[in-house]
Amino acid sequence: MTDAPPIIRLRHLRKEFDGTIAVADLTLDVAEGEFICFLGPSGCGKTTTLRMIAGLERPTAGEIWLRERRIDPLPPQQRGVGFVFQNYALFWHMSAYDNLAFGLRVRGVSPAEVDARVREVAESLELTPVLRQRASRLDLSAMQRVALGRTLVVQPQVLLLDEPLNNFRPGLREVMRGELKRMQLSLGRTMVYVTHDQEEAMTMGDRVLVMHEGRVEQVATPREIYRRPATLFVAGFIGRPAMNFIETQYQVEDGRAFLRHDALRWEIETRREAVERQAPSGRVIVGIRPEDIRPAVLAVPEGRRGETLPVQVDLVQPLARRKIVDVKVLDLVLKMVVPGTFRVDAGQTLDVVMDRGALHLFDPQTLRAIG
Amino acid sequence: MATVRVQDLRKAFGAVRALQGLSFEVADGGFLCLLGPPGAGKTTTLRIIAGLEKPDSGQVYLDQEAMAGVSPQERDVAMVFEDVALYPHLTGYGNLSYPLRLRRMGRADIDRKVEAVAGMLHIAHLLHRLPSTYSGGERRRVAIGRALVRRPRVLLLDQPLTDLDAKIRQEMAAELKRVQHETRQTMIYATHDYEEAVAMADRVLVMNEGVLEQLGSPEEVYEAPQSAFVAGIVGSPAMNLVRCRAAWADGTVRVEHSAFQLSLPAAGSPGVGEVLLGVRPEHLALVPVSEGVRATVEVTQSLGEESIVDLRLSDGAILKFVGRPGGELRHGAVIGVRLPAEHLMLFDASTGRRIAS
Repeated sequence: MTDAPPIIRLRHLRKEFDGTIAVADLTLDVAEGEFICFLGPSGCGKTTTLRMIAGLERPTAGEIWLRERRIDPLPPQQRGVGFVFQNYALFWHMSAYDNLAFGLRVRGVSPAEVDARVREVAESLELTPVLRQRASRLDLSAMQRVALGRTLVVQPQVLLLDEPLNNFRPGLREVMRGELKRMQLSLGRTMVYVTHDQEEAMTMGDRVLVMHEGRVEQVATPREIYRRPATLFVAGFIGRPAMNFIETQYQVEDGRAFLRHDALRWEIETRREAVERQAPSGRVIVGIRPEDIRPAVLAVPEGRRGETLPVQVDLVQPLARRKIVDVKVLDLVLKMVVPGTFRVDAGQTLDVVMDRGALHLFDPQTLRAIG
Repeated sequence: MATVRVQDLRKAFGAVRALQGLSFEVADGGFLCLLGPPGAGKTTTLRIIAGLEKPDSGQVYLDQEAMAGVSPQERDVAMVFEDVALYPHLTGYGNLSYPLRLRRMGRADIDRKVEAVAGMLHIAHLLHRLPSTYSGGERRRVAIGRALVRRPRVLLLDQPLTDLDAKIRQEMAAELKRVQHETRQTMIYATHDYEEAVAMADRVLVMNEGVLEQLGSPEEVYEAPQSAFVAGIVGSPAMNLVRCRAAWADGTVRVEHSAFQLSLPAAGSPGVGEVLLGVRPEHLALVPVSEGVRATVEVTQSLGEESIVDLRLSDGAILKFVGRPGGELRHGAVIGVRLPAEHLMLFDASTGRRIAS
């Protein structure tokens, strides 16, 4: 993040539809040149927020600023933002060229300048060879680029994208992610990108804003969101396979602090104070990522080892360079991820170690992270 | 349940040769995935096994019995299609019990079987609801349940999870694998998604343009791909394949690329040729520039703890790295890449076949 003043400022944005709250109270700064992803399940308010920035939806309350200008009272075309729709909304009967030129022509730009700008955008998006083709005959990747180019050509200060990769089959979607990210880097344009796909958000965004039921759960870099999820929702939503959760009770034995679930216990001396302060009921949800439960025979970073625990292997799914292993211990079914080369079979017992430094603690009442 | 044997299947649609001599076997209680891109011939293979399509030549055997001339009904094979069709006017119970009622099974038996399958697939709560109220994942479960409930000799699944969310797809793959282990139902599952294939099946058959590329366990197709095609389809990000010149002499092969050169042990007889040098993104090591092949950081994508990094070599070729880069890698930074000899594979550039080392 730079120290430059933010290009977009959202202040206490709120949107209600017939009494239901779609967006509760959203405040956010987006930096110039930043790629920010709005992530959440359908109905969380992410698209509504994007549409409010675009001017397609009027906020119930709050302000939207673009640089020094307050834009929420302005109609969409005067805001200086470009919107790329989920279904592209191309003019199918027109050529790629005419699709790109459309926005400029309706603005009354001179034919010579239209041509120059269309060719420039086409070149940067590698569309030059297909400019004369009808939109309906383009392949998916080219349609995507035309949709993007049509918005870029009018030189918006900010690009807003609503799930633009939804219609791509798996495989192509990953390729297009890389392509979009590369385009954003070379164009240096600020992008606000809405998706329900956590992998997409985490791989593309400089920062990710996670929304749930109209509220912001966390805004941070992908790495931060993954390593330090601020809420139980974020912890469960981010990461595949999802984080394991275990209900525990705080206990002090012989002066040492533990979280206990039945016969399992985790010593949490360094986080004792935070637990006592933030979870006075003594109930704590322990979260542990599948890759932080490791076979004891594999190296675990020194000083991070917890106690060794025998578990029953229930299911093994080899996924190329990793394996997902479902294990049972007491009444729990936990997922762990091991290297693809590690040999393990359903039915066997396995000694595992939970990485003590990797425990995430949550208060079951507030659903927020502890410490 | 039954063993399935497919013998030298050939099938053309006009000029398109969908299958060009495909043979394989599935043991009784086995779970085979057909993995390949659209157009590989997966669906055609399933339709021929089901009796919905006649092969131009070749034969399908169920329990050693040749199926030529045997109608789809008599084969007792169930198939779940990509576009799941449930009876919209029947509840979950009605849909699940339908194939059993057709067989004039008694009410008590029907209830018992429906209940067992519903429990296994976690759809008990859907039994009294109409399909119009189901989510995409729920529709898939009920459709699979309906095919499973009558315990066909073979259950064929044609990309039943394709358009579901990644998260739900992964959950359902785990469940389907568990169900198959519990029931030992012989299953053949077609998909273009390698994650689905390796996560579920005991064995994976990789096919391309109607031809078998490799048949092996999920570990085998990943760790020992026999062709560049298999190397490219199993694993994400895909294996890096870099075109190089190779010269064999005295038990070694010298691999030359404009950005690097290296020597590997090799069995081949003396000679030169074009090869594809294969190395998986997770086997690359990032090192100081002086200790490796010089590369420029292009794009970094975070995967949580790990990142995918696109590295551009001096000739413009891109190598993908995946792992923990250990520090921030800025766009445009120059670093070194090490290609560890023990993880390098060579493929013949013209045939795509693996070259033994």
